[in-house]
Amino acid sequence: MADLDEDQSLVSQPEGEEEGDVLSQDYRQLSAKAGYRIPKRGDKDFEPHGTKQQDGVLESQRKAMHNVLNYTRVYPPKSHIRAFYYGEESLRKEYVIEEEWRQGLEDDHVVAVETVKHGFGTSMGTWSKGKPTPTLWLLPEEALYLVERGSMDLWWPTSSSFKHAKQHTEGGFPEEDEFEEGESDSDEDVKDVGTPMSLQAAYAMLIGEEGQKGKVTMEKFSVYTNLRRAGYVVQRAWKWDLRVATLGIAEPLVTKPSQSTFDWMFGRFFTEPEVEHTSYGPLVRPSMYRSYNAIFRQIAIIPRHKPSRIPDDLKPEYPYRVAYHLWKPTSAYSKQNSGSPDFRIAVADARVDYMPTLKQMTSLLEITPWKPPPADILEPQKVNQRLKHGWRNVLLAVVDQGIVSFMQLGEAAFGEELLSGKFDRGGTVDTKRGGGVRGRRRGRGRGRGRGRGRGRGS
Amino acid sequence: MSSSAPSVAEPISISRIGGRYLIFDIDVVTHLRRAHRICGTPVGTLPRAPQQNVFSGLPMELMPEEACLLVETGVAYIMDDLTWHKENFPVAGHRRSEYLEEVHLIGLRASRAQENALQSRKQTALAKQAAAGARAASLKHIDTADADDEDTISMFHTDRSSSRASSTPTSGSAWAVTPTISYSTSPSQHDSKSQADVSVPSSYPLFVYLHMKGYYMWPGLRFGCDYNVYPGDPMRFHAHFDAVSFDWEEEIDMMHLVGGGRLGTRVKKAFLIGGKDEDKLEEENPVRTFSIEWGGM
Repeated sequence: MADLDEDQSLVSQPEGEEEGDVLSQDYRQLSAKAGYRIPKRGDKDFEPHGTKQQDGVLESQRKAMHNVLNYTRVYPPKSHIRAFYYGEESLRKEYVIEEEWRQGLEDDHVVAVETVKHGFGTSMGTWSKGKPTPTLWLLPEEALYLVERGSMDLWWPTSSSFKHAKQHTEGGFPEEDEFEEGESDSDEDVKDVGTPMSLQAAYAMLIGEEGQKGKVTMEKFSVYTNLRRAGYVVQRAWKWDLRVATLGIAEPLVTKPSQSTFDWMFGRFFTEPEVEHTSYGPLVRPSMYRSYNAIFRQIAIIPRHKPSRIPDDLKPEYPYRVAYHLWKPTSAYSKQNSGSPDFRIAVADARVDYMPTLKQMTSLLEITPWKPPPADILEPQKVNQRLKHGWRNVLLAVVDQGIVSFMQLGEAAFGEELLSGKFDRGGTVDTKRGGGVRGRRRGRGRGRGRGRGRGRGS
Repeated sequence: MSSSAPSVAEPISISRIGGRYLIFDIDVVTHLRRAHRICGTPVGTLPRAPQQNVFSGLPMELMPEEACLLVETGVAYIMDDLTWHKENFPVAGHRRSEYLEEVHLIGLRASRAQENALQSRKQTALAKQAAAGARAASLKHIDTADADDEDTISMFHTDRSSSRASSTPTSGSAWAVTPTISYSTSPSQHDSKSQADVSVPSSYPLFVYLHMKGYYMWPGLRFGCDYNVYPGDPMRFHAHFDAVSFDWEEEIDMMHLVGGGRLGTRVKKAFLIGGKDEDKLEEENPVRTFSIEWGGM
């Protein structure tokens, strides 16, 4: 039985994809003989040529697949974890469980774990509040993932399945009894505490359409399991990620006044005056120019996108909003103190959704926090890295019938990377050749900007 | 674990859950693959190898095209799994008791298999220990004998402890089980009520056409096309075409052809375009296809 501890290891994806064939799954590599280690992808032929050898290989591959997939999830008593489903299609938690036992839960928490073992709740679910012995409640995708990987046994409850509620009605036995009851549960199966769900039933109960309470869409679930299998810690971004959005709005309120004070005092010295064009005549006013920058500034007549810390307050549109927050697996992660997520991801269905419009893309980016390029890529020559990093970024998972592709959307700002500055800087680069020369030039003040012609002259 | 071809009675049932078409029964999956060239995409996590994304397990997700084709050819019918489970499950009934019985049996079998495995491991460990002991006695090869002994002892210890743990409380009692399927697919469950329309994209005629020609199809997202087209079972063969469907009168952007052609050639496939002639519906094959390759002149 696989332990959840394995979650800690990030799976390295095999690289051999020259052919680009992602779907070549040779299940023979995943047989009991191979020890269920992560296998390499198999080799394939160009086309059927009707030989017995080829047919034999195909046949053995098909058998291997059949045998690998033909597996029933069984739980030895020691590692048996049972959970009950209290969602819309069954006994809803609002009806069966008293309110004090389900405080701090969302509508979508529909599965209650009976006995939690080996670090189950560190990266998943929510503990109910308000009672000395909280219960771990899971979201549909979390529960279904655990069922799928053979870590949890999901049941339909009866009205008396919920341990705490039962105890409560019996008159509130002291806590010490609880452990014993948990242990003896496997023997109590004979009594009617519910019905074990099949994998099929779990899918039927927990997979649904967008917006259905207590359910998750198939494409979101595909993304969730894909990331979990790769080892990431994945949490739902609640309520369209409002927490982050408000954070983004609150921040400028603090920083803006100080900025404006600064501008007020020094702004007129530092900010360059707006370029004004006359209605006739050339774009570049005839004058004496000592820097390229001054010329380029005059011919820049098309407005450029300037990333701003303050979002435009656009409402994110479905499906382009952050669905999950991701953390790289570290032992330091805890639900209470998760810190800022490493990645944010939105989920789109390849069959239904279109490429996001500018508005959708902007609103999606703006609910992610302001994240300008970090200090280590601020050097002038790392332009490409800065552009790639962007000022905000978000991942987009596109699902086509169970096949998931990931891509990154970044708010790149070409307007922040003026190449024209380089021409002016060229002069200083040249001067590095000799200290004496440099000193002489400095003395002439703005003359720096004359660049190459200068170097040749000396 | 039957490795011979399982016999599956048609029509089989396809579960519709959350607007998706899923198959949970491994026998059906194998049958569709062998007899009908329908593969589907495995989307589930493998319980025995859960930390990887190379191999996936049940259920199989079918494209709406695949589901529709199977329904149209009478091979399958659509079953609304949510309705079925709500009708048959949380309530008590004879179906439920049958189901519980079956679950109990699987659990019993699993616990017995485990006990047997422990027994046989115990025996091999004992035999190994005896052999090692004999060898140590006869050859007086202290080093190797020590190593062997340690080996067997530790093995023996773990065996004993785990067998004690599992056999004392259970000893013949069944393990908990999550069966994969709720109902075995059978034509008898097929009634008019479960029949439902499958909405398919406009590329469906091309899908059907290529399927009838004997090709296997898989979703083409990764290659920017509607379908990856395989000459044989995709688990054995490389795709030959990236297929994109167009309407008959649709203007095709030249850039599209160049892009598709270049990408296809790059991954050793041909770019295939096709569409249905709406005027020639009475003909047997109203679909025409062309393949485009990037010529490196």
